[in-house]
Amino acid sequence: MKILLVEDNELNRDMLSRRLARRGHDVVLAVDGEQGVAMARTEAPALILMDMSLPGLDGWEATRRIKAAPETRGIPVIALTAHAMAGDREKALAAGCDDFDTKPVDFERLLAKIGALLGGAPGP
Amino acid sequence: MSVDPAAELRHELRTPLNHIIGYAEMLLEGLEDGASPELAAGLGTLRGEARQLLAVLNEVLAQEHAGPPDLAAARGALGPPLERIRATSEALHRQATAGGADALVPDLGRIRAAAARLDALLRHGGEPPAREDAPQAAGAGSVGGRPAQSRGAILVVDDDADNRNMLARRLTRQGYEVPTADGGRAALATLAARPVDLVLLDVMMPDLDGYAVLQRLRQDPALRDIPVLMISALDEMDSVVRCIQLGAEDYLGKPFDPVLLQARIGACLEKKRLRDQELRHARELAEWNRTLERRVAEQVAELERVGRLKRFFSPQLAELIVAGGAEDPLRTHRREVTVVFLDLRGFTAFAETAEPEEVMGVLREYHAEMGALILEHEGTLERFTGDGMMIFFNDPTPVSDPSARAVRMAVAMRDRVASRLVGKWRRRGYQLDLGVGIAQGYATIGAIGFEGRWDYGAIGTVTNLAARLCGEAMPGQILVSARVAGDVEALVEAEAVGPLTLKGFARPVPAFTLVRLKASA
Repeated sequence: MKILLVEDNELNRDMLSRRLARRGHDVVLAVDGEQGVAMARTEAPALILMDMSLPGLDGWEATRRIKAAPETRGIPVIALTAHAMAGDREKALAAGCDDFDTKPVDFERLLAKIGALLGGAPGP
Repeated sequence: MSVDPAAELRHELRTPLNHIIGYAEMLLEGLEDGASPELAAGLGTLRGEARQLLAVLNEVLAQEHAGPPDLAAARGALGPPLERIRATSEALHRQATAGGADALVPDLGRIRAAAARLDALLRHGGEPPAREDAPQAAGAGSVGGRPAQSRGAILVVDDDADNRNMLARRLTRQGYEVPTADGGRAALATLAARPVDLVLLDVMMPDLDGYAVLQRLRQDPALRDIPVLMISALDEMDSVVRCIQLGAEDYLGKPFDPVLLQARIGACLEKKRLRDQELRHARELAEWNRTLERRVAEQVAELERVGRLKRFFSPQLAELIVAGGAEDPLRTHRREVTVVFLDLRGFTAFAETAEPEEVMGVLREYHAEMGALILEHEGTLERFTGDGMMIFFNDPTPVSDPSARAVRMAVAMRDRVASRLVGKWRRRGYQLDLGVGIAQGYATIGAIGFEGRWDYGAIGTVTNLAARLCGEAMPGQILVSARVAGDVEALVEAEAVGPLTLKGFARPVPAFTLVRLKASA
C-alpha cells in the first residue's frame, strides 16, 4: 500500500517512513504542505499521514485542499499533531481528516488506524 | 507553523523527546528476533525513561496556561530524568560501537543528539548561553529589547542586583517588557518617564524604601492605578501588612515560587486591564454625553435663531442666515435700501363702522394677496400694523436692482388689489383701495427693542419719506421719490406731482406718480 507521509521534521520523516516500510508499506515523502497537496495528486497514495504543523501551507490547509479536489478527495488522511490539544481532534475532522493521532506516535495504534482506513488490509 | 512563540517552544521541547522515543521503539522492533539482548534491554530502559520525562514535561507545560514555559522552573523537575537519558543514550552508543552492531550506530547517534538538544533547550531556552549568563547593568534600565508582542511592561524594583536580574530574565522570557530600577528614586524616575503596567517593588531599599515609593504612587493621580506587587522576605509579615494597607495589590515572599509569581502577575495585569477598559468606557461615555449636550444646545440655539428670523424673513433666507450664508441682519448696520410703504385708503373709516369680524376678514384677504407678492419679489416685510405694511429691498440680502423690484412689486400689488379685491369689497359696500409710497436712501438697520422682544427695524429719513408718500397717495396711486423715479425711468411711465409738503420734512419734496409699466419692461 502506498502511503504519503507529509512531515517537515527530518528525523520524524526518517523514523516513520522506515517503520512503515518495514511493515511492507510503500512510503513516499513530502516535506511541506504544498508538496503534500501536489503529491497527493501525482502519487495517488492509498493513504496520507499529515503532520499538522508544517511551514508555509500548514497541514490543516493542505488537508482542506486535498479534500476539496475531486481527484484526491477520496484518499483517507490521518492528521498527526504534536500533542493532544483540546479541540485539535474536532479541528482535524472539520478540516476533512479521516482520523487523528498524536505525537509521539504510538506506532501500533497508528498501524491499527491505517489498517482500519485501508479496509482491514494492513499489507503483507 | 504556529507563530505563537510559547507554543513553538513547547513544540521544540517535545520534539527531541519524541525522537528519542520513536527511534528507541524502532530499534527495539528491529531487535525483536532476540539479537543483542543487552542492547534491547538498554533501549527498553531508554524508552521508559523518555516516556517518563515526557510525562513530567507535559505536567510542567500544562501549568503554563498562558505565555512561554518557565524554563527555570522546568529545569528543576526535568534535570534528573534528562541526565539519566543522556547517560543511557551515551552508554548504548558506546556499546553498539564496541559490540559491532554497526547498523544501530547512526540511529543511536540520533538519539544521543536529540538528548543533547533537549538539554540545551532546557538550559538556555534555545538561546546562546552567553546571553543568559551576561551580567546585567545596574541601575534603571531595560533587560533585552522590547519583545515583538509584549504582554505588558513590568517594572522590577530591587536594590539587589541578583534578585533584579533573575526576575527580569524570567519575566522577559515570559514575554514581558521588563524595565528595572535599583532603588526607590530610580523607580519613581522610570514611572514618570514611561508607561508601566505593573510594579514589582522590594520593601527594603537604602535610598527610598518600598513604603515611600508606594505612598508616592498612591498620591499621584497619574500613577495611582498602577498595581504594585510587593517583594518581601516571608519573615517581614508586618511590613507586608503595612504595604497592603498602603495600597499594594499583593505581595510575594522570597524566595519566589515561580508558579505563584506568574499567577499573581497574571491576576494583577488582568485586573488592571479590566480597570483600564472600564475607565476608557467611562471616558468615552462622558465624551459622548458632552458631545450630545453640545449638539442639543447648538440645535436649540439654532432653532431659536431661525424662529426669530422667520418672523422677518422668508424661511429660506432664515435658514441661509443661520447656516452662515448671509450676514446676521439683526446686527446693526447701515445700508442703502428701497422702502415700500402701503396701506388701504378708507381703512380707518371702514374699521370704525364695520364689525371687527368683517375688518379681520378684509385684512386676511389683503395680507394673503400682498404677502404672496412680497415673497414673489423677494422683499423683506419689515412690519405690518393693521392695513399698513413696510417692505425693504436690498436688506438683509443685497439685490442688484432694489428700486426696480420695489416698483414692479408695487404695480403688481395695485393690479392685484384692483382685480381681486376692490370689486369684492365694493360689492360688500366697503370703499377701500391701495395707496403706496416708495423711497430710496440710507438707513441704519438692526435689532430694535429689548430682551425678549427684539424686532428687525430701520431708522432713517428714507422710511419716513416712504410712509409720508404713502399717506399722500390717492386710492390706487403709487407715489415715488425723485430718486426712485430716476432709477426706474426706463421701466415705468411716471408723472411729476409737484413738490409735496410732508410732515417731518423742512422743504417741499418732489414726487412722481407711477402710471404704468412700459410695454417693453
